[in-house]
Amino acid sequence: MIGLLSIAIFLPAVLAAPTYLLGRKNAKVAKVMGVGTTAVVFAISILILVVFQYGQPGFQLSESAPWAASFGLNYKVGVDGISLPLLMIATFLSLLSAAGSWDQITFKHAEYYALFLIFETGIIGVFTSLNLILFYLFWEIVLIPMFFFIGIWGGPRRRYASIKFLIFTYSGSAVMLFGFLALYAWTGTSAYPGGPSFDYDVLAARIPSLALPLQLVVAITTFVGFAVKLPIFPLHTWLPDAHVEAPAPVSVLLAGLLLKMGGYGLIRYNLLLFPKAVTVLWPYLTTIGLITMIYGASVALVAKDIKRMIALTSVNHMGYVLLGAFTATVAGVSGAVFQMFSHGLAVGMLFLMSGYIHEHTGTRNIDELKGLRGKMPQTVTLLFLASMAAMAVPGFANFISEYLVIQGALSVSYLFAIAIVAPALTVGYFLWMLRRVAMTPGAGPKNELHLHSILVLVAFLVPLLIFGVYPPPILGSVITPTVEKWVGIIAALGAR
Amino acid sequence: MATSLLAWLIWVTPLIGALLTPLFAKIHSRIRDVAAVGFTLVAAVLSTITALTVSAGDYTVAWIPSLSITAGVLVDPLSLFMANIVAWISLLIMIYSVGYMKGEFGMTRYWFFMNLFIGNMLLLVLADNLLMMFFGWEGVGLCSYALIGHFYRDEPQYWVGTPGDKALGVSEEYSPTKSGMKAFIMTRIGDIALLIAIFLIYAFARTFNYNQLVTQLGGSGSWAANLARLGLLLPTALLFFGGPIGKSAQFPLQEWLPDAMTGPASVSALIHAATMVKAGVFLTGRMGPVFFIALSQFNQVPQFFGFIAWIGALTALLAATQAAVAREIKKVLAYSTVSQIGYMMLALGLAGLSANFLAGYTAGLFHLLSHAVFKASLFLAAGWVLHVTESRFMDEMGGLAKAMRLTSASMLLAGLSLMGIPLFSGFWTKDAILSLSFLGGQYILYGLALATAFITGFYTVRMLGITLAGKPSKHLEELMESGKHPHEASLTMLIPYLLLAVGSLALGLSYPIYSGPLTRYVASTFSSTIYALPSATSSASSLTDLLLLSVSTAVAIVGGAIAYFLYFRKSYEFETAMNPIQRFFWKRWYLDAIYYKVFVSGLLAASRGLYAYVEQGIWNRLNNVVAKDIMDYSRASDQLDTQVVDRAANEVASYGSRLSNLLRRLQSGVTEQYVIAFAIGIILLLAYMLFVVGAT
Repeated sequence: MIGLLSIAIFLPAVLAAPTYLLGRKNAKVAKVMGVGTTAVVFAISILILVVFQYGQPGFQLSESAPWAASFGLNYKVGVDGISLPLLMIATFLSLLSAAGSWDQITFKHAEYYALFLIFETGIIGVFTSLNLILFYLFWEIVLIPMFFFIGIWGGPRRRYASIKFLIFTYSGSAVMLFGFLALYAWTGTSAYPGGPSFDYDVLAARIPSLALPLQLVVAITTFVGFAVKLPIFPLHTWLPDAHVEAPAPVSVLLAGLLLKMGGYGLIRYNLLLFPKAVTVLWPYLTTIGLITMIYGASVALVAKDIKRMIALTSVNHMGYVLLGAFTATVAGVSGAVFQMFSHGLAVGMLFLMSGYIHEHTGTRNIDELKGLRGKMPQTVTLLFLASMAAMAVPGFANFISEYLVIQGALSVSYLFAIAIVAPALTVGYFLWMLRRVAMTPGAGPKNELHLHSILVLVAFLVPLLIFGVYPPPILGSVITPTVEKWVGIIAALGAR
Repeated sequence: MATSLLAWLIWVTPLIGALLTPLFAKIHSRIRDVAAVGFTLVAAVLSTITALTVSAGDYTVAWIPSLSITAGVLVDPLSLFMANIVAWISLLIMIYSVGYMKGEFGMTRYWFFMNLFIGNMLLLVLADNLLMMFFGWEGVGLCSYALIGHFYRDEPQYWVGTPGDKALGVSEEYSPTKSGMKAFIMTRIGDIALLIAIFLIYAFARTFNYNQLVTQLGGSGSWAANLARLGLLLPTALLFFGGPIGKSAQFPLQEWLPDAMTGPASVSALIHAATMVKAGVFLTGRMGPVFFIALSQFNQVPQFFGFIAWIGALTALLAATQAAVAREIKKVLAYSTVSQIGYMMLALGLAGLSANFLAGYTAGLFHLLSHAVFKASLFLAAGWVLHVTESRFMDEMGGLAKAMRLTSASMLLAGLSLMGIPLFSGFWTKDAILSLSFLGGQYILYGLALATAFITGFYTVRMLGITLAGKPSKHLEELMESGKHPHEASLTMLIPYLLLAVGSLALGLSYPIYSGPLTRYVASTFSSTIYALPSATSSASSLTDLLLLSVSTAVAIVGGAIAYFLYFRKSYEFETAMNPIQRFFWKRWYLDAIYYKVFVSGLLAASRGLYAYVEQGIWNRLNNVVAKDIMDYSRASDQLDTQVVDRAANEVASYGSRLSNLLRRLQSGVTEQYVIAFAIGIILLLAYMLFVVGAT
């Protein structure tokens, strides 16, 4: 019996082949099939929301099947309060990005949408797998369409950016795979009855009895894989290049979803599997998070390309995830998960908009974009709103998530009060960008976006505003119960 | 619930009004204008009805149940006292706006943000917990940003500052967009300090609710005790006060307010009289008693309240000196606001330092009321003066009294109240603060406050003299020759500021009648058993009282008299040559320039350095070493490949060259085979997995 999750995972890949074959003759068919499929998958994820039992901490809608049992491999998927928000932004952003690609991708539509659907399969798989090797497979599946996206549909330096992207992320995943295999070997000895396994639940039960040095080795190696993706300072330099070169809808996927793979991995595999190692590592990891936050904001301040600036805000904002996660407090971890959700939407909106703006004005240089308010008044209003979300103004979901993280951090050590430098800098660089881009009289005629483009952009705002004013549907009844359960386990092991 | 709904609607109504503005604008611009004023009117009426009919209490609903955070409105005398001031004064400003902003561009945006501003301010005032308050608090900041920068095209007539004026090489001229940005960033610094304090409190109290915070103080192991154990109680209180310092433009974050004069005069009036800067005073008033009780358990009251009082007194003097040399009429008023807010802070600080907490407390809040009335009047009248004279500089006005009797009369009335002349409202409320500092034994603070009163008298008369008395300036004469004669405003503008000016006299005349009951009313906020505030009655004899009254009055009159001889008799010319003291005041004590150098130029330089040396110089280069080597190698093999095609197969063994080859072909158009090969591989893999899943 194939369940809802498996349908959501495999449907896009299954439809990738017909999209390619039928779309080759007629680009419109490729567009319709691509957007249509992501819409159907989004509808399935809404069904998942309906079926999901709120307030339950454990995995739900689980499906499992034997695969290569002698190697500890099984097909196992499920969602809990940590993965559900990410699953939802995965399907939602895929839909919006596919819709945004309608105008912004201008050639090789069949290939583009086929790869797009394979990407969607990969990303949904990453957020739902409960077997380490399955997770790794989906993890790698995501990288390859991304490499093609940047390498084929990218800007002038696409070749450099795509290879840099691939080398960085592949090196990271190789180290991560090493960690997984080591874990498999060390928990597969006769001390653990039942034979070696990659199963998440099995490993979660076995790891507490694993010796601390071994835990540390696995925790650190897997951390490297996730940290490249997140990204953390100083492993972030692939990110601005990849973003600047990628077409805007792909940047939406990159910042909105690909980075979240790193954050999700950190929480699901580092924090929750290795509580003992976390006890040792947390001061270093949270400090790296703090540095990443402030460093990202500082370099964003002087960025001249609006897309580069938005890319660097991601470094700035993903630092919160690292900081929040390794406080190992309910507020911090809930904040980190919620931050991935809200940041994905806010930064996705900003990226898509940067693409539209580039398309309409022919430039992304902040100083050349002067007086945009006169030319594209509605777009600029949306740019203000998206910036407000990214600045974490109360009323947007980002406010709740960022300040939950800071609150979690403060409850661990009041030295984290330094974290407040980051939001102050964020306001600084956004307002300065807005002043240069939006204000002052602009030359040239009105050149507003199409209504359908505006509607796509508005769609990002809806969840941001709803959950910013009233977070319980996602925070209280989805994220927090699961986080409470796991933080309880960590606390019981004496990690904090 | 039914009656408490009224209290909710007070702040919800203007917010709904804001959201509906664009819709009304679609119908007709007239309907949009009337509706915008209407929503504020409803909020004002609701505030009064709530004050009269809804019984005090905390009306909550669930908000974030999992963290047991509730949302609610706190109906108590303090919140309704404040809500009524905010809503009614806002209403008059909105009515004035209808006339004043007629024909300006971006009016839908204007009405949207005005109502949003008022709604957020009322939310801030009525919220029953710190988190919800913070929503309003940031909302107010955001609206001020939008409204200060309303004329976002930065036309020269909307700038503030004298052209070409520089301090330490930093331009003292501000365009609307620049000052809007400055306001938001500067207040945000205070906001973040406030937020940290809120979360430090929450970390131990597990609640944001005001009443619960006080109640918990009664028990053992309270949040205050836990913070004090870590040595964090006083730092938390001081960080908390950072918020009010930013919002209310107190030293050292006072520099944003004078430049915020780039907004329309109605916006300035709103920011200064009803919203924004009053938010800081209100919040200090709201949490002051809580901190007083918390700190008194650990004998740290004098440090915190002393800090507030000193900040207030210093700011009062600092800003007054700048008002005394200002050239622009709105800037005089802006410095004056900073100075008067300083008085209010001084009063709230004195509350904690004296034996009678509530005396200082009510003195601060009453001064807030009287200031709101006369300052709104002054700003609205000044707005009309600016409009008529087509200049922001006082030296380009002069002799306006003849042609604009009612406007001049209203400025005179409000100005006398600002000076603290007997029988006007400002007289009573300012004197209460001065007496309190003297009787509390705070003689240095008293000295500072007295000096401020002297300068206040001086700059008020100076402003009135330069603009209203004497002969018209050359600029004005030219204007009249071109047929533009000064004249009175239309009734929609005239009535609001006239009403406020007369109101400030009426409030002064009737002060002996209402002050007692109103004091008891506001004080009753803290009558419940959870508050234990000292309330010793004053021991001062009526003779001392009378003496103090006459001293403060005399000082203001002497200051005014000097200005009278200097500015009423002679016509005023702006001189760039100033004596060193004047220059020091004119350059804003060089604080603005120093801040700019350190925080703007300094930060940018640091970021650029970080970008050039760390991001590009070290990390990128380091990270690129590997990538570059592979690229170089692949480029080499790439050439080989094209030169000797047959040998290519032997040369593609390396990882890097495969990548490069692949990409080269992709770019040259041979994509399909790779994409197909890749896709087929993936699909086969997934098909196998599907088969596995389906088989079970």
